[in-house]
Amino acid sequence: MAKLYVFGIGGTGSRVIRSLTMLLASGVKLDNGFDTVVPLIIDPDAANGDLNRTTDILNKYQNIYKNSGEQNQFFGTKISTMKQLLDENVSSMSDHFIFGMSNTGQKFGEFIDYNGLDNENKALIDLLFSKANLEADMTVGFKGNPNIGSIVLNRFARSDEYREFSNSFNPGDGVFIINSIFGGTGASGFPLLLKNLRVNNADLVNSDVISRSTIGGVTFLPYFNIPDGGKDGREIDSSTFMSKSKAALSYYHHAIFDKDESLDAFYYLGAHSNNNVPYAEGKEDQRNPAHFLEMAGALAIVDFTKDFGRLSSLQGETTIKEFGIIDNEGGKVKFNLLGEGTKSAISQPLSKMSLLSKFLNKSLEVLKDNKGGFSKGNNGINERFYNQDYYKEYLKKFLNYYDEWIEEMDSNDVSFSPFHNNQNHGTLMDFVKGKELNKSIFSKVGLGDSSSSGNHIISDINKVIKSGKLDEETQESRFLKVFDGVIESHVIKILN
Amino acid sequence: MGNKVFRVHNDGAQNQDWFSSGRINSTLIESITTDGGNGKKLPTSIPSPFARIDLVRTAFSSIKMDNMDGITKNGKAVASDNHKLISDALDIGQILFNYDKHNKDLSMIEWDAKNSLNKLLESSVPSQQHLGETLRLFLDQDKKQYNFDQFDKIYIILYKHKIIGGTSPRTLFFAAPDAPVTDIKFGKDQMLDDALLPLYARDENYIKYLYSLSKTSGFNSMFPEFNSYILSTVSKLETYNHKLFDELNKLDTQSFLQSLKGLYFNNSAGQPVTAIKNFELKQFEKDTSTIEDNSDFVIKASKDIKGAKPLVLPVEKLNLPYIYTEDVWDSNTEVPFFDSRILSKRTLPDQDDNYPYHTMNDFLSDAIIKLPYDVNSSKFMTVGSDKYLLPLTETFFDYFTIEDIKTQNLITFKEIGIDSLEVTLNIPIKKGFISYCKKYNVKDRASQDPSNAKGIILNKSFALSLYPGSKSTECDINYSVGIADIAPEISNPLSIQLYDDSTSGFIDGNSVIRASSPYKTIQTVVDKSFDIIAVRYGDNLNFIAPKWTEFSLGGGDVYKFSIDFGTTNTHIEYQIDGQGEPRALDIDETEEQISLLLPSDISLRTQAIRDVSIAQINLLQETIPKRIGDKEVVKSPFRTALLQNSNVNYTLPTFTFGHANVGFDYENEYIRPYLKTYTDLKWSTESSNERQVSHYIEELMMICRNKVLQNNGDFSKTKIIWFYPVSMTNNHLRNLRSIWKSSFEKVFGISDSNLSDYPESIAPFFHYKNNENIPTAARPSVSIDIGGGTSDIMIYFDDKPQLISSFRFAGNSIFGNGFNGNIKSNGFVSYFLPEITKILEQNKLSDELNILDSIFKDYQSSTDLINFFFSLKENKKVLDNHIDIDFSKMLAKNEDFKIIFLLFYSSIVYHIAELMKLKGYQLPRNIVFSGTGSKTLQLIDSSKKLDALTPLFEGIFNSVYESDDSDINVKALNNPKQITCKGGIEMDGDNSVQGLKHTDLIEVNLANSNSPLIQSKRTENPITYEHLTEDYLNGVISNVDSFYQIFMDLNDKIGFKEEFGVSNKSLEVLNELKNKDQIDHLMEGVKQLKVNSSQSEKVAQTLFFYPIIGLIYDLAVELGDNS
Repeated sequence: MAKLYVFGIGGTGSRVIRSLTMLLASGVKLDNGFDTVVPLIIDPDAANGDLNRTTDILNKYQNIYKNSGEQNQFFGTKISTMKQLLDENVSSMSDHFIFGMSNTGQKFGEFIDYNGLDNENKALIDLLFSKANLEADMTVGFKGNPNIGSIVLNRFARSDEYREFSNSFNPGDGVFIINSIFGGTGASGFPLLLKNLRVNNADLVNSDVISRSTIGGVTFLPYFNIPDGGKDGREIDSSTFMSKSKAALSYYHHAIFDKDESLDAFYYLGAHSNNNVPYAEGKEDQRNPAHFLEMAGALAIVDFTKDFGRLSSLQGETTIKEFGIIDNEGGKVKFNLLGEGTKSAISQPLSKMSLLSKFLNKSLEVLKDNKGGFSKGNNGINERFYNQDYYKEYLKKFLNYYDEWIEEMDSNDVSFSPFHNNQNHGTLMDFVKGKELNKSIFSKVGLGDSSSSGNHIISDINKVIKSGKLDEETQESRFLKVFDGVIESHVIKILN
Repeated sequence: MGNKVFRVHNDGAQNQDWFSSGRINSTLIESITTDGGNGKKLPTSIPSPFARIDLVRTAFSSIKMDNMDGITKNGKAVASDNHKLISDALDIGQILFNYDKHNKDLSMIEWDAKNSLNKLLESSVPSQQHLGETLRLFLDQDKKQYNFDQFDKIYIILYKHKIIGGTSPRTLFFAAPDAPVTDIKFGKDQMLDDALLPLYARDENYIKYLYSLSKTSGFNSMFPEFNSYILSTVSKLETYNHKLFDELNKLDTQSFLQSLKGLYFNNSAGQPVTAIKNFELKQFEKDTSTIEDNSDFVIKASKDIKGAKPLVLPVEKLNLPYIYTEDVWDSNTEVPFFDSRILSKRTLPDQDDNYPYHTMNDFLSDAIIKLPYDVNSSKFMTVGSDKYLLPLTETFFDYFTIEDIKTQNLITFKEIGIDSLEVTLNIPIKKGFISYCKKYNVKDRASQDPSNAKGIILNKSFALSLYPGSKSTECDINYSVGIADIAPEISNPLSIQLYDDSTSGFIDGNSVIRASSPYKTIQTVVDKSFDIIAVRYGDNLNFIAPKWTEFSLGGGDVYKFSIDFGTTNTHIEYQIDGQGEPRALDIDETEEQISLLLPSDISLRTQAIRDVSIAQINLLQETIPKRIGDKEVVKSPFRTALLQNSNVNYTLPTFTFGHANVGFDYENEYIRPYLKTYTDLKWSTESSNERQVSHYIEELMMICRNKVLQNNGDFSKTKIIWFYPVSMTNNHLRNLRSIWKSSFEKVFGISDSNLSDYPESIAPFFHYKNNENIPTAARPSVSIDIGGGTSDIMIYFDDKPQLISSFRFAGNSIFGNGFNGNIKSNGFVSYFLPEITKILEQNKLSDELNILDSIFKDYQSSTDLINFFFSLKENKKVLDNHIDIDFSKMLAKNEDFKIIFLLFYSSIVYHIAELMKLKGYQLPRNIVFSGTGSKTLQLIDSSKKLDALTPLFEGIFNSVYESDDSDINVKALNNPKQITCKGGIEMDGDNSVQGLKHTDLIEVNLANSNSPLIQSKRTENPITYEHLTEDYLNGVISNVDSFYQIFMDLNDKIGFKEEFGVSNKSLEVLNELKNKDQIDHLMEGVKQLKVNSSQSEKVAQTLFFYPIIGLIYDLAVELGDNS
C-alpha cells in the first residue's frame, strides 16, 4: 500500500486539491495501490480564502471517511495529515494540511536581513533584486515575484513538517506537486520544492529515498484573467501573466526538464480564457471559483498514479503531458466532450455524487415519510441521524461544497456543465445532460410518474435495508453504503 | 470535430485526456504570444534568486536576426522586454569595455562564490544563514544551466555608488533591476537609458571585442545564447555595415583580444575580471591620436604643443557638423565653462575619453580690469573698448602669441552700457573657430566664481611704464617695467609679471617696491626680452600687450656717444657717422624710449586721471624722462644726481631702476619724498659709491643704446667715449674704469674696443683747436677746464699735449662751504636765498620752492643750492612763463661778490704761469676755458673776447715771467660744459692722442716758493706726505702771499673797480682777511688730500689753493653778511 504526497503550492495548489478531494469523494480512485493521499498545502498566505475552504473540505472528508466504514466508492480513498500518518505526538506539529511557514509577515528585505548583510552580499542582492522586491510585503505571498519566493519558501525545507514528511516517507510512495507558473508562490515553490526533494541531505531520514523517488507535477499556465490588471498600482497584473509564464517555462526548460534526477512527469495546462477573477492580493478575498482545469489538474494526479510504474522505471527523462478534450468551440463542456479516459474516470463518480446530493436535497423528505425499512425499520436510518454531526456537519456540508464546486465550474469559462440543476423529486434522475430518461415534455414540468422519479431510488434503498446485509454497519456507514450501491446502479443505467 | 488541448502555446499534438506531448523547448515557449512587454515591468516569474541571469539568457536566445531592433517610439522602448534586457546587458558590457575611461564614476564589488557565500552560511543571523542556504541550493542545482560550476566570482559594477549590473556566468554581463540611467555616453547612446540599441549599431571596437570573445574556444558551450546573438549580429552587419562585416571576417581575433587592455579588479593585475573562470574580460584603450586625427575641434595653435593637441569645445549650442571624437558633434552635449581638473586628467564631455580639452574659462579670465582712462593705443595694443586690459589666461598664450591676436582678430570687446562688457574670443580649431563669448559685469568681488559663465569687472587704477619699448628677436636687452598702484590694497596687491612668447612662460625678473604710499610703485627689472605684460591684481591676471618698436642688429647709422660724467653736471654728446656736428643728447617726440600706458594727450578733467598722471611722474622719476632736449624740462647737460630708494642696502643685489636711477628731475621737478638724491657721485669715497656710480653710468649707457635702437642704428658699432679727471687717484680711476667697462659690457655686450676714455684735461682743447681757429703752431696753448670739483689744465704745443695737471679748485670752491662752513652761514646762500625764494613765491613756482626747500633743509649742500639757482634760468617753467630769474645776472650785478671770481681765476692763471715758468715753457699764446665752472667768467667779463680779462691774465704772466710782452688769446664759449664732450668726439681717432698715457704727462706744481718743485712720475726723491712739515707749508703760504701781492699790484695797475665793477668795500675786506687763518686752511686741505693715501705716497696735488679756498668762503660770508 502506498502513499501519495500531494503538495499544493499557493492558491492554485489549494484549488486543485479541492478538486482532487471532490473527485476522491465521488469515488475516483488512484491506481497502482495508492490508497492514501497526504495533501500538503504550502502557502504563506495563511488567510487565503481558497486555502481555508480547501482545508475545511478536507476536514469534512476525513470525518466522513473515518465514520463510513471500508470498501466504499464514495469517500473511498484515505486522506491523511502527516500527524495522522505518524500516529505519534509531535507537539510542534499541528494536525492539519498546511506547511508551517513562520516569519513571512515581513518585507523581503527584512526577511533576508538585507541591512545586516556584508557589502558583497548586499551588492549581490541589489544586483539580483529590485528595490520593489526588497520592499515587498510578504504577508500575502509573493505577488507574482517568484524570485523572492524562491528564497522565502525555502524555509519549508527547515520546517518540522518537512522533517516529518521525510520521516514518514517509504519506498514506493509518490510525490506530486501542484503549482501555477504565472503567479508568485506557486511559481517559486515548485522548483524549490523539487530541488529540496532531490537533494540527498544526510541530516534527513529517508532523504536518500526521497531524492530517488518518482515525482510528478502539474503546472498551471494562465487560465484566468484579472480585470483591469496592472492599474492603480496593483501588484498583480494579468497582462504580464503570459510573459511571466514564458520566462518561467523557459527556466523550467533549462532547470527542470533538461537534466537528470529532476521531474519524472510534468503535466501542464493553461487556457486563453475570458473568465475574469476579481482582483485580490490574497487573504480571504482570494477565493477563486472552481475551474474545469483545476479538475483536470486533479485528474493529472490520477493519471500520475496510473502511469506510476512506467514513470518509476524511466531514467532521467521527464514525461511531458498535456490535457485535451473534444473541441466544442467555446461551448459548455459536457461529458460527451471529454476524452474517453477522462469520461470513464469521472462521469460515473461525479454523476453518483451529484445524484446523491440532488436526492438528499429534493427527495429526502419523501424518503423520511416513506414507510419502507430505510426510514421506518429497525435496521434503517432513524430520524435523529439527520441531526447528528456526521450528516448535518460533515456529509451535508461536504455535499454543499460539492454542489458549489459543480456550480462554479459550470458558470466559469471554460464552463464544465455536465448536469442540469433544475431537478425535483419527480425528475430527479434526468440530471445528466444528454442522458435524460424522460424525453416527454410532461416530465419536464413534473407531470406524471416517470422513470426519472426519485421514487426508484427510495424503493431500491428499502430493498437493500430489507436484505439485512448492512445490519452490522453503523448508521453512518449504513447510510453511505446504501446510497453508494443504489445510486451507482441507477447512474450506470442513466449513463448507458 | 477536432480536439482542444488546454495550452497557451501553439505547438504540439492535439489529443484527448492527459496525453504524452512533445518536449518543451524554446520553439514551444516562443510560440506563447505576449504583448512583448515594454521593458519597464520585466517579468520576475523565474523561481530562482538568479532569475535575472536567466531572464537575460532567455532574452539573448529569443532574439534573431530579423528582430534585433525592438520597437522604439520617441526614444522609448514600447515593445519587448527582451530587447531592453539585451540593450542593458550590452550597456554593462560596453561600460566594462571602457571601464578605465569612466573610472571616476565606477567601482566594483567582488562577490566570491565561496567566501561571500560562506559569510552567509556561517552567519549567526538565521535569516542570513537561510539566504546562504538557498543560494547554495540554487548554485548547486542549477550549476549546469548557468555555469555556476565554472565561475568563482561575480563582479558587481557600481556607477556613482549605485549598482548598475554585473558579470554573468551565462551571458557575460547583465544589468541590475534598478540600474539608474547613467551620464555615460558612447556616441549618442546613453548607457542604461530607455532607448534600445542592438549590438550591430554600437561602437565598432566593442563589436570586434565581443566577436573576438565569441571566437575563443569553448565560448559557444558556455555562452550559447550570447553566441547566437553574436552570429545574428554578424549576419545583420553584412547589409548594415559591410565594411565592418568584412573586417570581422578577416579579423585575427586572437591578436585583437591580445591588443586590448586587461580589466582588473582593484586595478590589480593579479585580479583580472572574469565572467567565468579563466575567461578574462578586456577593455579598450582608445588610441587618443585617433581623436587628434579625427576631431574637427583640435586646437589650431601657432605655438608647438607637446603631447596630444587638446580639443576646444563650445559652451554654447553648436549646430555645425563637426566631428567630435568619432561622430558628429551632438548639439546637446554640455560643456562646462570651467573644468578644475588639470588638462591631462580631463575627460571629454559626454564621451569621457581621457583626452585634453579646453573650455571657455581656460582662456578667458574670471575678471577683467578696467582702468579709468583709455589705454595709450600708440604704445599698447587695444581691441575695442580701450579702458580694459586683455582678460586672457596663461593657457591662451600656451597656444597663441600676441601676434595671433592682432593678425587674426581673435578677441573683440563690446561695451554694453557702462557696467557691462562682452568679450568674444575666437579660438582657431581645425575647422574654423570656437567662439567664446563672456559677459563681464560690475559685481561684488565675492560673487566671483571660476566655473561661472560670467566674469566680473574690477575697476582698478594704475599707471604703467615700460622702458624701453624696443625689442629685437636677435638679442636680449634689459628692461624695466614700472607700475604705480593708485590705491594699494593689502589683500589684493597689484603686481606685474613678464611673459615670453618664445618660451611660453613668465620670465624671472626682479621686482622692487620703490614707493609704498600714497601710490605704490614697483619696478620690475629683467635682462631678457619678453612680449606681454601680465598684470596681477589679487588673484586675477590680465594682460597688456605693448606695441614694440622692432630693431635689428647690424645695418643702420653708426652712433658715437661722448659722456662727460662731471662732479656737478653730466653731459652727453652724440654724433651720427656722416651726419654733421656732434649734438647734445636728445630724445625727441619720435624716439621716446619709455612707453606709458596713460596717453600723453589725455585731458586731465577727472580726479582719477589726474591721480594717474601724478603717479606716472613717480614712474618717470624712477626711470627716465619721456623726452630730453632744449625745449624739454630735462636737457643735457644735466645735474649729476642719482635717485635711490631710501632703504637701499648695497650689500645685497641692486638694480638700475629697481633701486637707483639717474635723477634727471633733480632741480627740475620736485623729487618724490621716497626718493633720496645723491649728488656727490664722482668723488665720494663711501663704500656704496661704486654701486651708485655703476647704476648711474649704466642708465646713461642704456639711454644711449636705446636711442640707437629707437632709430634702428647699428647697435654693434656704437662707440662710447668717457672722460676722467687726472687728479683722480690711480685706485679711484681703476674702479671707475672697471665700472664703465662692466656697464658697457652689460648694456651693449659688444667689444670693449668701442669704449674709449680720455683725460678731461685734453678733450676741450681739441674742440677749440678744431673749431675756433686758434694759432697753436708757435707757442704753447693752455686749456683750463673748470668743473664743479676739479680744474684740469693741459699745455699743448708741438702738435701734442705736453703736460696736464689737475687740482680740486673749481666751481664748488667758490660756492661751497670752505673747510668748516655750512649752508646757513654761506655768504652766497644767505645773500641770495631770500631774494630767489621771493621771486619763486611771487610766481607761484611751488615745485621749485619745494626743491629749494629740500636742498636747503635736507641736503644742506650750498653748491647744490647755488647750482639750482643757476639752473632756474633754464627751467622750463621759468622759460615758459617768461619769469626773470637769472642768477648769473644777479651775481653779475653784485659788485661785492665780484672780487671772489676775480681772485678765483687770477689764482689759477698765476699757478699755471708759475708751472710753465718752472718747466721752462714759453709764454702761452692761447688760454681756453671750458667746464661748467668757467661760466662764471661771464660774471666778470661779459665781452665776447674777454677784453677785460686778457690784460689781467697777461699781467699775471708778465709778473711771473718777469717780462712785459705777454700776448695771450683768451677764449671761452657759451656752453663750456659741452666742450669736453664735443672735443672727445673730435679727438677720437686723432693721432696725437693715440697711445697717450696720461700719467706720463701729469706734472704738479707743489707751489712752495722756498723750494719750488714740479713733481711728476719721473721725479726722483719726490715730496711725499711725510715731507709736509709746517716749514714746508709756510713755503706754500709764502707763495700764496706772493700771488696776493701780484693781484693787488694789478688792481693798482688795471683798476678792478673800473674794469670789472669790483666794489671798494670788497677790496677792503679782501685786504683785511687775506692773511687770516692761512695755515689752518692749508692744513685742513692737506688733511683732506691725505685721505686714502699713505704717508710715503707722493703728494698728488698742488697745495697752493687751500688757503685761497678758505679765504673765498670767509670773503663770501663777510660780503654776504654786510650786504
